[in-house]
Amino acid sequence: MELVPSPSFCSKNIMAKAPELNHTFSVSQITGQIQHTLEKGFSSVWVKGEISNLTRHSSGHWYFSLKDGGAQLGSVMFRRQNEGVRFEPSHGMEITVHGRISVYPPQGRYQLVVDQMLPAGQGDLHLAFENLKKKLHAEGLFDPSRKQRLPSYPARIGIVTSPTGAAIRDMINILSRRFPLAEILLLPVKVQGDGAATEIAAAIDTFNNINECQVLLVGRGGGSLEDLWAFNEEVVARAIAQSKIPIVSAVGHETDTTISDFVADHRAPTPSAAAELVVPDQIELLRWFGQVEQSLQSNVRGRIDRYGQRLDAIAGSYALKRPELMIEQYIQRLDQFEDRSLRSTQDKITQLTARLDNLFVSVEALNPLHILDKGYAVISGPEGAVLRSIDEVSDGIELHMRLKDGEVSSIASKVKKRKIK
Amino acid sequence: MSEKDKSFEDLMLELETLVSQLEGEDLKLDDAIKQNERALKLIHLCRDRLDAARQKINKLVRTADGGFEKQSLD
Repeated sequence: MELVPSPSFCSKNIMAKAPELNHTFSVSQITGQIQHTLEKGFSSVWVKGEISNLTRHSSGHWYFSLKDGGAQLGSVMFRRQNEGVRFEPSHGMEITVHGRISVYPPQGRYQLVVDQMLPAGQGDLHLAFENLKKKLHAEGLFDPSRKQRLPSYPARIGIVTSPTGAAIRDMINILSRRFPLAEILLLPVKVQGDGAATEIAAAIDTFNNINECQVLLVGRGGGSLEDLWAFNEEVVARAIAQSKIPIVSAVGHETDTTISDFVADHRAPTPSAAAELVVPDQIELLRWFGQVEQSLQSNVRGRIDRYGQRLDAIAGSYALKRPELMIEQYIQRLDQFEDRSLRSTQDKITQLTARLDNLFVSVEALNPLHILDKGYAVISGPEGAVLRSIDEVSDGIELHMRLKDGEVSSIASKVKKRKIK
Repeated sequence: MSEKDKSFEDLMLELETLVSQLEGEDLKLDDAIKQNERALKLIHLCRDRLDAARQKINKLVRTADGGFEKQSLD
C-alpha cells in the first residue's frame, strides 16, 4: 500500500473536482432535455393567434405560423386532423387551436402540432364549454348515480322554453297526441341572448318551488352555437343539477351537445324526442289494456279449469266409489245365483269372478302398500305405528319392516339424522 | 282515498302489480278471482280517464305579489 498518493492519482482527483466540466452538455443532450421539458410541459394547449404564411402542402398537411404583436409560433396541422376543420382558414385570420408542442432536434426548432382549429370567436366559446364541462365533471355533476328516474305516467309536465317557436309547438303536439291526460304547464323564458340563462335557471327553480310537476322539459329548437349558448352556462347547469324534479334536456338538433345535456337526468336529441320520452303513448296503453283483459280472463278460466280437473279426478276415484260396497253387493248376488240352476249359475260365476278380479286389481292399485312391489319397505315402531321421521327412532328400539311378501324385525342402531341444508 | 282522487300513475302501478301477481302461480283461486275483478275495474277506470282526457295547457304568469298564476295558453 502506498502511503503517498501518486502524481497521476492527484491529477485525476483535480480533474474530477472541476464542476463546470462535469455539467457540460452535448448539443444532443441539451436538446433532448429541452425536448423532454417542452413536450411534457405543453402536451395539450389552446393557443389563440393570427394565421400567417399558410402553406397547404401537396401531401395534405398544412404549415403555418401563429402570431400576435410580439411573437410567432411555427405550426403544423397534419392531413388527418385538418380534414375535420369546418371552415376555410386563410392568411390574417384570427383562430384558436388546440395541440401540443413538438421539438425537432436536427434543426433545433420547436413547433405546435395542431389537432383542432376553430375561428377565434367560436374558439372562445369552445374553450369556455370545455372548461365548464371539465369543472362540473370534476364536481361529479354528470355522475350516473345523480340521475333521477322519470315518472311513467306524469300528471303534470313543466316546460321551460320560449312561448313562441317550433320547440313548444312540437312538444305540445306530441304530448297531446300521446298522452292528453297530462297537464302541460309552460313557464315562458327567453332562450337566447342576454339574460336568457338567468331566466332559464330561475324558471327551473320556480318549478321546484311550486312543486306541482313530476317532470320538466328544458330546451329549445335548433340554432347556432351562439344561439344555444344559454344552455352551456353554469347558472343553468347548476339549476338543473339542484332540481328535485327530474329534468329532460332537449336542446337543438341531434348533433348539438350542451352542458345542460350532461347535467340533466335524461338527454333527448330534440324537443319532440323529449316529449316522447316523458309520456307513454295512449294507443299502446289502450292496446295493452285489451291484451291484459284477455289474458286475465284466460288466466282465471285456466285456474278454474285446473281445479275442475282435480275435482273430477277425485270424484272419479275408486276411493269415493267405495269399491268395497260394490264387491259386497256382487258377493250377495253371487250367493243368490248359487240357488239357481248350476249351469246357468256356473257361467255367471265365471263371468262375475272375472269382473271381481278386475275390481280387486283396481282396489289394490289404490293400496299404498302397492309401492312395496317396487322394493320399498314400510317401517313401523314397536307399537306398530308407521315411522315417518328419524326423530321417531332411537337406538335399541324394535323395528318392524314390511316388504312386498313378508315381514322382518330388527333392532335400531346408528340412528343418524340427515342434515338438511 | 277514493278512486277519483288517485292519480293515473297510482292506478297503473296497482294494475301492473296485480297483473304480475296474477301471472305467478301461487295465488289461491279466491284471491285470483278477486284480483282479476280488481284488475278489470282498474283497466276500466284508466280507459275512462284516457277517454275523458282533454289536455290542459297552461302557462305560469307572475302576479303582482310575486307569486304565479295559471293562464290558459292560447
